Amino acid sequence: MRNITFEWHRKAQHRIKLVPIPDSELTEISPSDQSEPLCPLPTMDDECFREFLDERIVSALDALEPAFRETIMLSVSSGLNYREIAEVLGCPVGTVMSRMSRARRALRERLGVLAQSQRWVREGRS
Amino acid sequence: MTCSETREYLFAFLDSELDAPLSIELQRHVERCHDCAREIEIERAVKRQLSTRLETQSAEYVLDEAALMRAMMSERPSRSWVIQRLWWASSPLRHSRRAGLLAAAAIMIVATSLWVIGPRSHADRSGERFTVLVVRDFEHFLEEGQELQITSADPGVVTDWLRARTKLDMALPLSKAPAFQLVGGRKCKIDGQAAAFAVFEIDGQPASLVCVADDDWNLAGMTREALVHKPGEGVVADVEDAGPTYWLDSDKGYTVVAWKQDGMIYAAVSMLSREKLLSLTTGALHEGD
Repeated sequence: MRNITFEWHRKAQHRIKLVPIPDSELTEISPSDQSEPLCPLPTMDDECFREFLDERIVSALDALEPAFRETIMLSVSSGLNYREIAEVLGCPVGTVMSRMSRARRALRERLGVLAQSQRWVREGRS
Repeated sequence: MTCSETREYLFAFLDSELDAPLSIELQRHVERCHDCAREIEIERAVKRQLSTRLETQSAEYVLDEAALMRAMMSERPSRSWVIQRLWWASSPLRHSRRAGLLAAAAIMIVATSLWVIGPRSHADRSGERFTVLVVRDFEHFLEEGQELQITSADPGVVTDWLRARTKLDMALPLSKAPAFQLVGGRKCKIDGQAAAFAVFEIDGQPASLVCVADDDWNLAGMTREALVHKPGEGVVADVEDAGPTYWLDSDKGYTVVAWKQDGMIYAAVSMLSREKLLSLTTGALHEGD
């Protein structure tokens, strides 16, 4: 018995090789992820869901400052990348990135309350 | 990568703008974090619907020679939206990506440099004929689908907006005639000078009204006439030369009717007859016609 155990440990040293993981590869999962699962998100085949998104998109676009609306239109509708949009608008790529981010967040804010009440996202994450 | 970092990089990731190492890190995080995976799922749905919305809007109103006419004559609720969007439908970006980039960049550079230079004194102006300048401006609006910055049928609302933006002491004409409808306005520049630009619909046809400070413009080629409106006869020359004075001209098939009022010069431009255009100034008189 002692020999069998010793042999298993000896072989295990060859089978299992511990490799240190660099910090950059570590991923930190928020504690909330461990709680009860989220409700499934409707698919884009669901007409009600599409209409819900569309309504909020239209109102968010209308409320956006022209510069932000212009940026998101150049990206989504024309398919230009950030560098190309920066060329067109004559601004740094960083400005395009921040405008895109702000425009998208404005869209997202319109979805926020319902997304939480439907448990599509957790509270505090919308 | 943490959840907050994932949210920070989320949009760049969805637009394929994130560096490869960060992109791999983000994907690795999302494989393990259901909450962040859901964020991406939602943002992808929003992006897809946004794309559908914008493409539908552009495809509905592809600009051709008659697009503005059609837009003008379309149903009232959708018209403002159509006009606001025409600039995009006509944008070369939709047809040729590279050519569009160059064209758009050129336009932006010119527009920006004009803005930076600011208003010039009349001594710096090109001296081009006033008719040519206002017709060119109207053509640009029709053909390039420039965006109206305010859309309203209320002359008071549009006047207030234009006065605030252009600092011009101007006023749009008032009329209750059903065939005479204000669509909206925008701030612009005529030969480097701040100008108010309004768009009207008269009998279903578009017309622009440009207003600039009366500052030694080149009115060469314009015929000066005193005109009055007589019931049953329309607009006729005032033989006693006592009626309001107008400067009349035409260029490239467009009719131009200009008049001066309170230190401003107003110029109406359209394919309409001069009689119809004069209804901009005497709209109330035409209500019974």
